[in-house]
Amino acid sequence: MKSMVINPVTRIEGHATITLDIDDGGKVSRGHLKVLEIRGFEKLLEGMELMKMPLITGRICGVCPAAHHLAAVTAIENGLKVKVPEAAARLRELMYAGHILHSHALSTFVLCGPDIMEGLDAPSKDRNVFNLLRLQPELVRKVLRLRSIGQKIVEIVGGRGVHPVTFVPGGIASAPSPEEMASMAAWGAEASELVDELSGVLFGRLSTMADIREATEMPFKSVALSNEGKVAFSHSPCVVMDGTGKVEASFDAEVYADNLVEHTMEGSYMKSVRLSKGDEVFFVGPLARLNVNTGFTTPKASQLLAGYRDRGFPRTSALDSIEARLVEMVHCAESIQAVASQPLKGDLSVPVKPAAGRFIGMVEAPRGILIHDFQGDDQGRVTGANLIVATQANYEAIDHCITAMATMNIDQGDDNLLLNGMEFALRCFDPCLACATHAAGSMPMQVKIRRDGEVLRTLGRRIEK
Amino acid sequence: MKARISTEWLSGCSGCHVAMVDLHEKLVNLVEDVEFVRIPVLMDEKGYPKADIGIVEGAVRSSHDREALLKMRGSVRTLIAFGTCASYGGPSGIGWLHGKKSILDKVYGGNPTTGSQEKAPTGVPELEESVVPIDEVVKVDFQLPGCPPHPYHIALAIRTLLGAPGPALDAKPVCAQCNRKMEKRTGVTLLKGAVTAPEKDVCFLSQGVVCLGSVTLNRCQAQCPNRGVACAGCAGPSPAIIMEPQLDIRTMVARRMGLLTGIPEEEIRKYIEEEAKTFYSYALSSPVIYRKPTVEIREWTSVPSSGAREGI
Repeated sequence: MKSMVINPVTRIEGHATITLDIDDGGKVSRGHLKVLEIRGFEKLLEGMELMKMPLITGRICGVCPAAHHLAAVTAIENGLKVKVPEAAARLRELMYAGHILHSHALSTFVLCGPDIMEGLDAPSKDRNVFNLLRLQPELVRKVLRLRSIGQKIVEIVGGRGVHPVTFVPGGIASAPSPEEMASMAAWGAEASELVDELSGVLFGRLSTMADIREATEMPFKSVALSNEGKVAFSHSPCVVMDGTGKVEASFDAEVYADNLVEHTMEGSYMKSVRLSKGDEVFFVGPLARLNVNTGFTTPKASQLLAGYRDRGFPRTSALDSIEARLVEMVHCAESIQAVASQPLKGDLSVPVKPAAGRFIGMVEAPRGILIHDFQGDDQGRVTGANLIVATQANYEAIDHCITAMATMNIDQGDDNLLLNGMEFALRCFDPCLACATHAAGSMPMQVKIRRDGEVLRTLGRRIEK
Repeated sequence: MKARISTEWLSGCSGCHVAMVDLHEKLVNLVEDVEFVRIPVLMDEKGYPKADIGIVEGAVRSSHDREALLKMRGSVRTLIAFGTCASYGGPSGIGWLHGKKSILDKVYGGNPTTGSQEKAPTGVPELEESVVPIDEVVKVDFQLPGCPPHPYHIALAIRTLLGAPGPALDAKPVCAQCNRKMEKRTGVTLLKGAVTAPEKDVCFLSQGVVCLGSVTLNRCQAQCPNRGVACAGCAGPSPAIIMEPQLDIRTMVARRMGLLTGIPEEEIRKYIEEEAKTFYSYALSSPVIYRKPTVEIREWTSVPSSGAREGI
């Protein structure tokens, strides 16, 4: 048995390595993502004030803090049976649209973009956003502008860009000024145009990647929130759809623990998540959301989704996640325009008091379902916490696609292509390892090819002496 | 020649790196002045090339982190502890309170969704018993705390290091940029657990809400209090707290709030001690806090020491 290691994986939101086991016949037996560190937030949160969970849990992840912020506040409000006022709900929707826009723009154009634009066989020194900036400065400026729009909206509505703070149990702590609302509405319109233009650039390239589309087909179920057929980011049941497009089950946040089970994975601090029933693997994220839903709350994205589904349903290739993100970005831009152009009326929050109980919130992070589950005592303190994040839920699907890409490229005689193919498969999931396990350190990238434990040769893109 | 910048992240959330991208259009201008030779979230450089400035996010949690940090130190001339985790342990540093066993037991065995058969993984880098800020491991030249530091402060720090003319970073607390007015009040009650207050132009302390703005370094433009949320202390303690052993977060806040509201200082101090895990969460693994003679984090939080390291 031979084994290869990519260490660390780069251009993902977190650190990890990939190992590749090769059998004696030279065929790939298994690719496996290994995440090398853990912070253990479930333990760290014990004993803290329940009402401050939305502030501290944002710190789990710098890329999707808004998702943790929303999950925690939703959990508390579910547990206390609090309904937030209309104005707060709208501002949350606005900020969340900004958040998804920023995250998707980062994943699609900044992290995956170089692979798609430069090709998987391009030298590693050329496959990054700085090189794209040299080659196509206008394009990259537009990409950064699109992402900035999303993040600036988070900053205005959430108080800060990274680690927003204004979602408080019962509502929202402050409202943007009318001038800020007007600016955001205008940015929504600008984002709409930018997404159209940038999508056009990617679409052409994506259509030439049929081999990768085929290789990253996943024989797994789709799991995503659905509000009666519309894409929803919170306050909705979770739908399970099988590989033929048939809805099998649906469950609410409160019973997530009866429906999902976590497993330890070899050599990795990240746990995988499966459906309890039948111990089945599934995937989450944009691809799953657009499988289980037939529309959005906004018209243009709904129309695009109809076209997307006409081209194939259900979509089960990881590569198609990129196209799904483009559709969702259109929705975000529309949503920003729609929400920000309406004046805000009424109270921003209702009073809440902590109480003992169980507090469970389930939301859609940019990369898939995210669950926060807190136990609280009558002193208003957290006595237990459980967190399930999207990248965990995608873990086995990621391994499946890494293995498939390696199988496709193993005989090409191009190590660079082999390695980056595996990394690209991973990047399609927009993995957020800070979330999943809470980030790891790194070492120089090395690939070790071993047979029965003996290292036959070592190669790498660059190894420091 | 362009200054070469190399970055790394250890045990953290990547938010500090995202904040760098949040320089937005300024990032493009920065790229014209500097060369990023290593930035793992954006580039495929996997080694540790020589650089003028090294930027490290995150605390030291595992043997892996320690090794990466030593390699960074060896490859750069000036090393920046970037963000609160690198500077004071930050949220990652809360693990300082708990031995590694209790963390692993909780994550792999003590959850509603972990099956009864699950065990902690094997073949992974060893967690160290505790979590420490990076200056406990290597010499740090410059600290830029903040969770994350505001892009304004990041740009200022890099400009300063590059010797560009203009304003330098100051050491004022969050209050310096907060628009709320401190007012002396009577009949105020202590609002435990609150992060908001009814009057948006009046200091949180005057309204009975514990806000750490007065004892926290301003690396944030006071965005939280200006958007309605009391400061959680995420950039770590202000220089006044760091430099004077007898001063502490809880005593300073209790005194100021007591004077403004008439709430007995003792009551405020006791509340902060009872909720120490919340109020000290960003800096409790730093000796600048736990070595203070009157600070008893373990006693307040009822988490006994695992005894593996001095000071823990």
